[in-house]
Amino acid sequence: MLELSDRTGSSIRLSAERWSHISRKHPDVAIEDIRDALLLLSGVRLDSFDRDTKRFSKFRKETKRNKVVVVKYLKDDAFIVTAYIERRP
Amino acid sequence: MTTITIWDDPESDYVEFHVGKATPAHMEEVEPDIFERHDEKTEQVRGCGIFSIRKRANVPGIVGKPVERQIDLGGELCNYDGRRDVFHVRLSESRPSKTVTLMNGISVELSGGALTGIWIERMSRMLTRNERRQLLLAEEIPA
Repeated sequence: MLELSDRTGSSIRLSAERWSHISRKHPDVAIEDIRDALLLLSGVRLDSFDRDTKRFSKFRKETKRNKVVVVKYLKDDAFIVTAYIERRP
Repeated sequence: MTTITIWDDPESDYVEFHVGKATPAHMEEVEPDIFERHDEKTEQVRGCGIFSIRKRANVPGIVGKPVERQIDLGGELCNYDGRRDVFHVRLSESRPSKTVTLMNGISVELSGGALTGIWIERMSRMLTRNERRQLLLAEEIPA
């Protein structure tokens, strides 16, 4: 398990199985991209149905794509749900 | 035969699936919190990511680790109706108590918070020509 943090200093965990999923299924996302999106974000959005879930994004000019990291915040815990490359329509 | 890979993360209330190999891809939001997975090279839709599916269905979340399943598209858990271009994958013997239909032609079946199946309308948009041919042969429907 990895321990990361967002810009407010909140600790965010990335479990081994979720990192395995991200690295195999979203091979363009590196761990540095996740750190960047959490710390140097260019935007953050709330999930429409679940206000405890936030999507941090970091826009890359060179690819014109967002690197997105989805984080679920619980009362005493926060963890990464997934991460992916997004193209805004 | 090609597979469909399904990732169900009940703690996060997140479901993702893709057809074939996980090639480099990007996601596009097609309705709030629903993302289609596009192959980076071909731009073809090859899967989908769905947030808050249990919340949409008003069913309680369940505790559990994420589960990944890789299922043969032509196997006994899958059914493809080539005439209607509708695909179904069954993930559990339990009868679904709720079905959530999304605007992009995907329907998700749940039973007590557990994911039991996925329906995909216009399945051919997610398949290569060869994959569709294989599926039609498996269903013994003339192409």
